[in-house]
Amino acid sequence: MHISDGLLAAPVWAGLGAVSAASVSLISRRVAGRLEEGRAPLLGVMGAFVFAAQMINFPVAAGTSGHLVGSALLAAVLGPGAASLVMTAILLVQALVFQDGGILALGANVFNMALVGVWAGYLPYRHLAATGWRTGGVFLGGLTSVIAASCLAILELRLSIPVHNAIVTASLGWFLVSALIEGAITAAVFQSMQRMNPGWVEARPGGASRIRGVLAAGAVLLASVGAVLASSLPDGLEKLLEDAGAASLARTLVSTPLADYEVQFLASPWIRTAGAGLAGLAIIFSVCALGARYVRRKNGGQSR
Amino acid sequence: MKRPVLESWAGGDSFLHRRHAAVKLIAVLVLLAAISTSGAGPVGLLAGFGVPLAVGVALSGLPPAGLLKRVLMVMAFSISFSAAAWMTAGPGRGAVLLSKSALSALSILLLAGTTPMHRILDTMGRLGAPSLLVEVAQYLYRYLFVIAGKAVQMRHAAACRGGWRWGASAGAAAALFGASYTRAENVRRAMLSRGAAGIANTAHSPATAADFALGGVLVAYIAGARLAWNL
Repeated sequence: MHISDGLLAAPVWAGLGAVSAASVSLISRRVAGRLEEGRAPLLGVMGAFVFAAQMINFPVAAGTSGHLVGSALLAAVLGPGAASLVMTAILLVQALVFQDGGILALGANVFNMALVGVWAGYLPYRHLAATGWRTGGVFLGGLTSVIAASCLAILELRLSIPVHNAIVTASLGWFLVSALIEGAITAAVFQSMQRMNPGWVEARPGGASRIRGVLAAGAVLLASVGAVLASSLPDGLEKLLEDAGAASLARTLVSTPLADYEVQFLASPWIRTAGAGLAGLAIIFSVCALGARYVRRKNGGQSR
Repeated sequence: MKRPVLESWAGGDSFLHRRHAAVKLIAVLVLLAAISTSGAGPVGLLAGFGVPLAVGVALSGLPPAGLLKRVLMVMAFSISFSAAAWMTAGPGRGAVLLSKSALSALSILLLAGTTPMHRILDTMGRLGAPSLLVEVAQYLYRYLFVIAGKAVQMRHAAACRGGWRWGASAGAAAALFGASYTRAENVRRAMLSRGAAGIANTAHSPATAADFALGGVLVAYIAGARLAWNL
């Protein structure tokens, strides 16, 4: 789902543009450091392959057909860093040559599809690749990459444009179907590649765990779909408190730094809510990271 | 896959074609940012930004009907979201989104229709884009139409095989991957045997007074219009 120019609000395209530029710059430096001499053409040709593979139709149902998106397949074949770089190059060429996606919106599209989409697709595959559920990992990777990218696009457009909840919910349903199709296509192409030449899709060592793979896919799905539903539906707990008349009392008694899930100094209510959500996530991440470091030290520096 | 019409347009010769790629790229970014942040209504937007874009079309020598057709083609996505905004926040909001999308699409078309792709990518590298990203995008564009030609062959082969089409399509995509991989290996071997380090940067002549004048006039117009009419 390529967002075109003119639709996103300035804080959204500018913020995501800055995040994507910094991330792609860092990834590019890391990939360049690890890339063998003369391997840049391989990445370019892999990008051309994904572009061209989108021309091959897969019959779905009742005369309709789908095609490969490719983020998860690239992540499985090239690894997440190189896949992010190749997807960024694809989005850049699509925006300039085919006007598929905007130039100012490129940062948002890169964030959705080349960064989050690729990593969301890679996580389940990474944990399931060395187990007996390898094809399942690829299927889940295809599914999560499309869901995460689509849900982010919906959220960014909702931050910028007033859209009815019914339209958002209908879009979500459509994206879930598209994600299932992408998972099935990615798994089918991956299996064919494995049959033709197993060397193309060698599993990277380490990290094998069925539980972690399924949990990673579940976490991405819950976070993506939950965020979109939360943006279109009222907070259940808040509604209950309002109905019971306890909300005003609670507001008076309890005052937190992220009161009412809003950062007060920002102008738009949507931006305030999103900012408060991100700040909350950062706090939870920091607490988890510190906890993990403590547990690791306690276990004598052995990572699990 | 046919080579895009923009490629033949970009090979033309006009006042806008001859302008420095960096000036055109920065001017389009400024224009896009101004369109995006403008608080004007649809009429103000079309009048205010339509003037510099119409001058741009005249200076580019590109066919206006062809440009309009391409603007409409790339607006399918914007039309659906403008319709959603129309239903939710009224016709005014929908019309603003539609106007902003159309003006943005025309701005990008003017850049891509008057500047060859390799030169835009090269300029992006000079302006600070990561060199590996630029190199990958250059290779991608160079081999895109070769690999796409293979994809058409694979698609025909899959259709001729018949039977369970899903398996045939998956096999075609995997065979396409194999052909692409082999091509990439051949390119690498050829490059290493020649001692080539990668895609060579094309020579850029320095920006001229006309380049600076074009950029200056556009920025002055946008700043003046924003101050005078709150564009």
